[in-house]
Amino acid sequence: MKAIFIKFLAGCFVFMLYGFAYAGEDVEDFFSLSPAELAAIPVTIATGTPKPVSQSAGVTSVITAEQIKAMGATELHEVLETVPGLHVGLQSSTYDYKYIFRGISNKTNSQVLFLLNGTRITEPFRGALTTGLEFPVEAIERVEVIRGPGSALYGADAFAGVINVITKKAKDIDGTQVGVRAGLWETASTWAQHGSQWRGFDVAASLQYQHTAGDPDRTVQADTQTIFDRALGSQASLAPGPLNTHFETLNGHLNLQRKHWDLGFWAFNLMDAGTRAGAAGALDPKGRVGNEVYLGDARYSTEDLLDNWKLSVHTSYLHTRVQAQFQAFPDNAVLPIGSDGNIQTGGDFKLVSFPEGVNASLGRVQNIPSLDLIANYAGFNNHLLHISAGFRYEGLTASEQKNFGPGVIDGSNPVVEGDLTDVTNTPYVYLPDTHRTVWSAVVQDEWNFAKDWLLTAGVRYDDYSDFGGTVNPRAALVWDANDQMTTKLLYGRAFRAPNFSEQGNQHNPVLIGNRNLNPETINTYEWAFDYRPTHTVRTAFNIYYYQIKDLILPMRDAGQSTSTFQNSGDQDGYGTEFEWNWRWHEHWNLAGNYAWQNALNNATDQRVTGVPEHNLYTALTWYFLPRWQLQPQLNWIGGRTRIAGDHRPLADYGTVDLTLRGKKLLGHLNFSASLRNIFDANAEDPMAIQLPENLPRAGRSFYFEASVNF
Amino acid sequence: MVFGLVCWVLPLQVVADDESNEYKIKAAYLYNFTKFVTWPPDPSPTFNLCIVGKDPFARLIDPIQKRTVSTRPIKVYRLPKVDNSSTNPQVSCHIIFSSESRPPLVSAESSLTVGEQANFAKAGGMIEFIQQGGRIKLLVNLAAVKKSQLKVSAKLLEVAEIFSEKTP
Repeated sequence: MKAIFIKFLAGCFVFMLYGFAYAGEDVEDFFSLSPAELAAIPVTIATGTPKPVSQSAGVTSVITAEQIKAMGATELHEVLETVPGLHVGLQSSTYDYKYIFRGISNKTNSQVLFLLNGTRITEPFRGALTTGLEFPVEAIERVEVIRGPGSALYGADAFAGVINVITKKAKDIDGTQVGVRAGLWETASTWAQHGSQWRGFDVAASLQYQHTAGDPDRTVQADTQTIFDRALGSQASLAPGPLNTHFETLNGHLNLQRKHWDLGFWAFNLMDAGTRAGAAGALDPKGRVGNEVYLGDARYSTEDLLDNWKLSVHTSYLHTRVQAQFQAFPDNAVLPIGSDGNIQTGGDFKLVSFPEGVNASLGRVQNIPSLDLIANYAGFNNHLLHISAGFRYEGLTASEQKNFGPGVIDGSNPVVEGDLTDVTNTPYVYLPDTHRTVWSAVVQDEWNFAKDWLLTAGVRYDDYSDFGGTVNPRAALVWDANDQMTTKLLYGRAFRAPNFSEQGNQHNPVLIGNRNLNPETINTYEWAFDYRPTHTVRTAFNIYYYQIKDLILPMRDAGQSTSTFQNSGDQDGYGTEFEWNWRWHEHWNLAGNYAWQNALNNATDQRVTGVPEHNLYTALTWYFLPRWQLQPQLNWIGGRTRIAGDHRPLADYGTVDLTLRGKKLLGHLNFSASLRNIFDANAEDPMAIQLPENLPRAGRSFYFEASVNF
Repeated sequence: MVFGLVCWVLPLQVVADDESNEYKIKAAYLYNFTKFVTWPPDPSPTFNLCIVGKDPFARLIDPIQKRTVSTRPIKVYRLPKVDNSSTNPQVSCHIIFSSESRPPLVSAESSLTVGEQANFAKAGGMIEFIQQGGRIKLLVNLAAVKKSQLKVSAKLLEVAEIFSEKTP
């Protein structure tokens, strides 16, 4: 079976920016290109017969600002749930969203690379976005998603997929917009955006504030503390009770562009947030999380220096800061404490009571500067060459205060008060200060070797100061069979770098790091078709097969209550994705996708747990009057399995949303109203086994939104 | 990285038959101008693209009429000529494309004039299609643009050559 699937790779196709419904004609394809892309299409002047070369060598989805508004999404995770084969779940401990591509999932979502305007914004700490970071959508112009590997261009962690958020530029905003939104659960947002020209620069600026109290009905009947209460006779648990899902954020973007230059600045501030289900799975209404994220980004590119060469320099600096004060266990908890001061469920322990709770304050600061030099050469007939070299530094400093654990208590005192001991700059901190450097080089050629045929082949080398070097090639063969049909055959190898937490976690009661980890690797094969039978219908279909080696997983330490990260286990997966878009009438459009996947854990020979086997999305859009539209949409998730021995049911669910929207009413006013999860579907996310319950998702809600352009 | 970005925002193969690609690229530029140029407000219910004189696009450009500029549908007009005493006075052209070397004789305060013959920009046209380095690029006469009420985005100028008048 595997051999067959290796041959039947898959790739897929994509939503175009504009031409989605009309793409039967070639000229329509050109309409979707930017001026820079048009200017890059080689034409053979000698014969006067222009020959375009295409570049697409991946499986991509593009969701535009217009589509985001039509679906009524207000946060990025709602947008990404509509992408074929992508399901949004929850990470462990932080309960941040995680983006599961094609059944590939781990605790921190480090198998997905996030970019902002093409710049890496995932952190080395856990290979994920900064804790508590959730993009509001108002500043987003479009979201580009690669389903499949991208390491041959983007390096580490472009493993299961790549998500690139593109913000609005001056022309996208063109003037000033101010808007407000208000809805259930004290949900409120306000934003202002401005796009204009200043001293030869196109300038775009935006600022958005968001607040919600969270759904008070997301309650759990039992939590981790309940388990200890039952075992030890204490009564500390705050369950039944609601998750603490309130948050308050500020998000700002600034962009300046002129000939040769593109300058960006981004700031995100999680001013205040709850700890959701609690850092240790025990409800924690006192806990608070905050963060600050800053990204500076500069690009210079020129085609004026050398004939046939485009030369670019890209530099960026990402600075993130997270601070969390939380109660791992609530007031009056009684816990088994080992001689190292940590909670210990086996071996030799003593019962210790914590009348003021088990408390900690964790902080970390990460700095990630990077530099890339890029050259594109178009001097050879039918070839487009890409060569680049890059450098990145990743550094982290940690701080910690707590009233438990090594260096603080040793289990000999039966009562521990709430006062915190600072273990920052001691050997007892949760992670030693860590840094590493990454050097990289890329070579790629796009070869238009025959009419209607394009071969893209490339390879990237990364050298990490901690684990060493890795080479990741890719190849893509694209054939335009005729005006209606395009087909692609794709191969790519990708890697995920072990992150700082997996390498260096220490004094943790559960997870211990390992300095000898190797990267995870994945080989992916895809075969994709794009079929446009008429001007109003576009369909896309793909099948894929992948093999993951050296998965980094926590493995239980013999005779201990801890687990240590090890390269352990392989995963195979195959599946298919189908997309459709049918504009059958000027006023009606039907779009959607269905994905089926089968991901197998080779160690257990069982399906990978907690990931959906079926993922269906469909939306019907009705355009009425001149400027109004109504869009109902359905998202259905099915076939998630639990790990062996876990008998908590994990039901399939479907959510339905309905969004009404009016654009440029009276020339300036935009209005929308959205009903989310209309039927109040009881959707749940699976959690780590020690939590007694699945976590409920938000129930039915609504909002109203108005904005003015001037 | 920059180039990688360009690679992947281009999801569709654009390999087409040879003869008309030049004009498909030019048609796509014309469509792009609607996104990168700002016109002063006017009451026209449609966005008007006027092809003056000889029409090298033939029917190839017609699909542009399925698209809109903001909320205004794009309409293609084929006119024998445009000047201040136009034979078609009810049409206000937002873009005037001319395949002749001289720009149309209009007080082009609110029309973007586009041409493809050599010296179109030198003669006072705003944007000229030029072939350079094996590609179709843009030559922009900034002085002509500045005299008008149009605003051209820096992003468009980034891929363009700028025509500079050598004043004696």
